[in-house]
Amino acid sequence: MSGAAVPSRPSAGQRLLVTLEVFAAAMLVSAVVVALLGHDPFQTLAAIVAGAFGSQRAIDATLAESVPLVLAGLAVALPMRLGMFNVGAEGQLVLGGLAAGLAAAALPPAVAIPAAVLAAIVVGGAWGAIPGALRAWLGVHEVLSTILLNLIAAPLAALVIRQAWAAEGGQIPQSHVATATLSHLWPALAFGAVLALAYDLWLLRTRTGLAARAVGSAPRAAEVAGMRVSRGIFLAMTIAGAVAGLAGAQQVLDQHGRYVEGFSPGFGFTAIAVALLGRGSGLGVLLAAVAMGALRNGAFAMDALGVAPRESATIVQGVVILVAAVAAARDRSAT
Amino acid sequence: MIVELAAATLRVATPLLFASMGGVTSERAGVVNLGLEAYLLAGAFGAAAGTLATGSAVVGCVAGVAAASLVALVHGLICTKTRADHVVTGVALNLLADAATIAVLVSAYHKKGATPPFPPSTKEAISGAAVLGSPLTWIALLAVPLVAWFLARTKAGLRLRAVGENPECAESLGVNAARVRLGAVVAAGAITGLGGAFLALEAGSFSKHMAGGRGYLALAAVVIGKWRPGRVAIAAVAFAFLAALSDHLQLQFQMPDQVTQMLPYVVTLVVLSGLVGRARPPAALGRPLN
Repeated sequence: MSGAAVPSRPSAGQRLLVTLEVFAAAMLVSAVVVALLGHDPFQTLAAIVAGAFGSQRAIDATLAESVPLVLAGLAVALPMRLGMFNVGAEGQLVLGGLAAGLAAAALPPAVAIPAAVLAAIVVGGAWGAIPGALRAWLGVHEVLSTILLNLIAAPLAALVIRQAWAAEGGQIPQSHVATATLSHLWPALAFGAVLALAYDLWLLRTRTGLAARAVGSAPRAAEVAGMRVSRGIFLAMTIAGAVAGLAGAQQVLDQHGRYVEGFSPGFGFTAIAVALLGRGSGLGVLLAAVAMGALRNGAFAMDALGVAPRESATIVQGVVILVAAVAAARDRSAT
Repeated sequence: MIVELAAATLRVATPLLFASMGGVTSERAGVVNLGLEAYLLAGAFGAAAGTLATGSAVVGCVAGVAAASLVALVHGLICTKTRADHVVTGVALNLLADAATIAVLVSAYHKKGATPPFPPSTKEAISGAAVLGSPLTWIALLAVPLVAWFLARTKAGLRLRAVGENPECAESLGVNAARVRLGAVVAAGAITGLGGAFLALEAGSFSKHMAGGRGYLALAAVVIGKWRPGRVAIAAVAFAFLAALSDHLQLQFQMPDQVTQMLPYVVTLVVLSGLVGRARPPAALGRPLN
């Protein structure tokens, strides 16, 4: 899909305003949906906010939810800049996480983390390279191919982990405990923030960044101007896959200390909402990731209190995507 | 064994046929339909809810079609009244439908994974009606020539195709492109809803994520069949056969579950990769209306 959901004219201030507008509209629609499902929207909102920011522990948990969303969000945002829709972030991050978990469990502590990170980049990158190549050189629409690859990734991961499964008295297939883990959130959070800002810098200030934006806005013109569109598409999807893989690795190493089957509650799909809400900029993704992380974290708390089921968060997420898509289309017609 | 395999194929093919015919209807009018998964979910949930409420599978079917049509209506309105990207909205709708069905499941039935099963009398009625396969299977098979005939030989079908190829030209001839597209999407919802209803009736309840990727497989079938109902149906049945076959082989050869789960998708991917250069979609597919 050319153009996708990314405007290129409005100023940063205008963009922020539209983002807030999108968020507000989404909240409104979600309130209606929640009410229709028989729950009190105000109570729901209050519970979510309390659950997300109400205490130091809540804030920590919110940030913990946000970190993988920053990385996965970038994994959706980058291809979006080139006019592609990476629906495959979920599969990429699950397989990346799997690779990281297996590597970290099998190697001595000194090399465990770097090896795990490398493994995640390679495997995630490969899972992004497949649809990238299919789109770049065979014209297969990346939406269908990434969706299919997501559907392949889950049983594939299940197959692999069962071969390597050390049943440490658990019901859930998981790898051995990693020999070294990340003990704090801050390294990953800092890395995510740096990556997001570096992405912005690259996009706005480098020649290749400009080329990428050109491919997204006007692929045929870019081709005529001599840019290697196919190669760009392939690279973008591969890098996106690698970054998504890193998101998976972060979860595995940071949150759980090992690969656990089903560790991702749909980060890859929330990432779509993050990328759209963040309107394709690194800073936007960063902020949107925190917003969505807050939403998810708040929703868990809300579910635990019995106010409304946690799926309400996913519902809001879906509404956010819809509203953001409409807003983006409105921008496209205006520019 | 051949009979069993054939029966299994038809059973698996039923929802795929409904969904892919729905996909053809929508896409020939120019609306990329990634929402098929959502329509299936809505259809299945509606059918389960309707059957549980009244004990009648027929009412369930109607409820399923109604629910799916409603979801399709929302989808269609967004796609025709705004210039939002069809693909993004379809994906969003799938996420929404998945979450919403689970949310309603929890609120209305107080269960986390699936609705309560249908009462035994209803189940008996359902299997009793399945004389040579469920009546819905026969309807699904009939739907193929019906859709083909509709598109090729009726005025409404011609208008639909015209809007799918060149909406501006159709408008200049007095066709209301937005209304045609909306109608096509709602029809797609209704047809696909029957597929969803079949899923629920066959299983005797609704369980979460019931659509299981069938909506995407159906869309792949539409692409592979080059948007022509007959070929799309062949692709859908081929997928169904593949799934039934791998289930059977899995039992025979003790292969792990996951291999059978992956196989239809891997094959679909391979076929799509081999084909696509030569596929010509409706010219205005995915293009928003002015």
